[in-house]
Amino acid sequence: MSNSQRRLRLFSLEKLCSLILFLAMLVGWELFVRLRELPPLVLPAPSLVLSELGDHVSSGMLWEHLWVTLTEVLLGFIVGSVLGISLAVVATSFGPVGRVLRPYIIASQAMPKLALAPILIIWFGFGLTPKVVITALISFFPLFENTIAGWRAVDPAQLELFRSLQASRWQLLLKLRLPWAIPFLAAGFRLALILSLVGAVVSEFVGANKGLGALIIAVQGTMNTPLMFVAFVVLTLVGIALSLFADLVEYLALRWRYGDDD
Amino acid sequence: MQADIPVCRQPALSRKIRVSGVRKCFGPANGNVIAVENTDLEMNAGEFVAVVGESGCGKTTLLRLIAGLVEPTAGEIELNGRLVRGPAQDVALVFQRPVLLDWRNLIDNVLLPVELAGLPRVGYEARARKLLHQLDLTGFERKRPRQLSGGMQQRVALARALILEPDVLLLDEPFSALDTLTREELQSELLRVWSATNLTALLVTHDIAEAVFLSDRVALMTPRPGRVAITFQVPLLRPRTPEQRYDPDFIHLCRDIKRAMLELGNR
Repeated sequence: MSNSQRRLRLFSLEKLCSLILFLAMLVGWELFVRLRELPPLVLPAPSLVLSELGDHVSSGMLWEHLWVTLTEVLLGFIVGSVLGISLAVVATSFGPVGRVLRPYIIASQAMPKLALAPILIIWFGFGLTPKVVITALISFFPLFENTIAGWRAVDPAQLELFRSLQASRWQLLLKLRLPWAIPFLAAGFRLALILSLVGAVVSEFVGANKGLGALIIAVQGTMNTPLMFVAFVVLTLVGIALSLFADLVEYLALRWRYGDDD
Repeated sequence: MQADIPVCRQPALSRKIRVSGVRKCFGPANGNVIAVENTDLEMNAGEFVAVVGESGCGKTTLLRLIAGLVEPTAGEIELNGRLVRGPAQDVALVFQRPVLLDWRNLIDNVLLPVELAGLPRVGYEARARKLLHQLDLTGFERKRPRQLSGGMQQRVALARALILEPDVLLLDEPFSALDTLTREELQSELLRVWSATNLTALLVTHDIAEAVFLSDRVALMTPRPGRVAITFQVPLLRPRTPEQRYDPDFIHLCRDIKRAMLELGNR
């Protein structure tokens, strides 16, 4: 595949241009701040953000917040995707159950989950639990929806083949439904991971004393804008890392499903 | 285990399949469309029977009834003297498309029926390799279906159908999606595999020449409602050779079947 070859190449003109553009933007930002003599409270220069980042990384303060946010993201993601996949399997295996639950699922999907953060804090306090509940709720739907879509993607002729070979319910699920659902699961997985990060940060805004979202709110109070930018940088890096992880999972899933190209 | 070299087939005596007075309707009220009506068909063990008819005459439905994939609305289907109530392990199917699982390599596709039957894989791997070898697929065992031509894929489907040494092989237009040369090649290979066993084969096709070339008897189905109208004996000697397609006997039989198809189909 020429596409993947292009992706695998480490150096290319496009990549060089991207890097140059990035550096140019940093230089432009730095010059803009210095020439206009903007106070760091309004917009800190990239050099200041970088030195702040170095300080807080070495003091260990950032790691603590990062660790809390990552825990919320991963726990919520795992709980949400396990529930999403298993409920989708139940809803599709037992047709009537799925049809009865359908309107409720649509309603709860339409409801913006982040709006629930205040009540969840009343119910579960300021600790980890309400954030995990929010990220789980957010991860649930992409996997629920995609499992159902994957379930329906099966080739009817293959279903007939399995029926003629007297496959059991489990064999049908594991040896036919699951392989068909895997590309859909990988896509749902990516969406859920990225959305979980949003969920974790926003629920930390609402009430928390640890986590990158909590840090942003805290430094807003002390008008420490440079530190806020440090949090933005870390969140961007976390987002990129999650996305690369999803890429890897997707790549492995698709390679298994469709095989290597010779 | 079966013999490697094709041997002379014993004259078949025992009754393998009996279809009597079968009727199959589809539709919400189960009476909207009559796919198969008052149909009888008997097959002896080791016999090769072809069912020909135009599209929509109910021939595929007849095959699915025998396979136990659909239930008859009326009438009875017996296999080895027992009523068919669903799919059975000693009946294997080959469909119009290969229907291979593209995430499995060839050997794993051939072994699918073994896995689904809960049998140990090890006991059948050698047989799977032998079948692939007989079907000219040596060296492709670890390839994925996508890397193969349509004809090769259909050979894999045939190997998969034969892996559990079935009594009955049901073929639903298995070669209709292939080009003429590949089709003729596969027809000869099917005959070779079939003649090395005591398989009872039922082929559904719209290709009269294919039906005559492969079978001992050709049953003609007519549409609306679908039923077996006439059965023709095929007087050609076995083993069949590709040149027989140009024998006068072969051509005359094809012509007779075509004529009957046109007359009885009211066209």
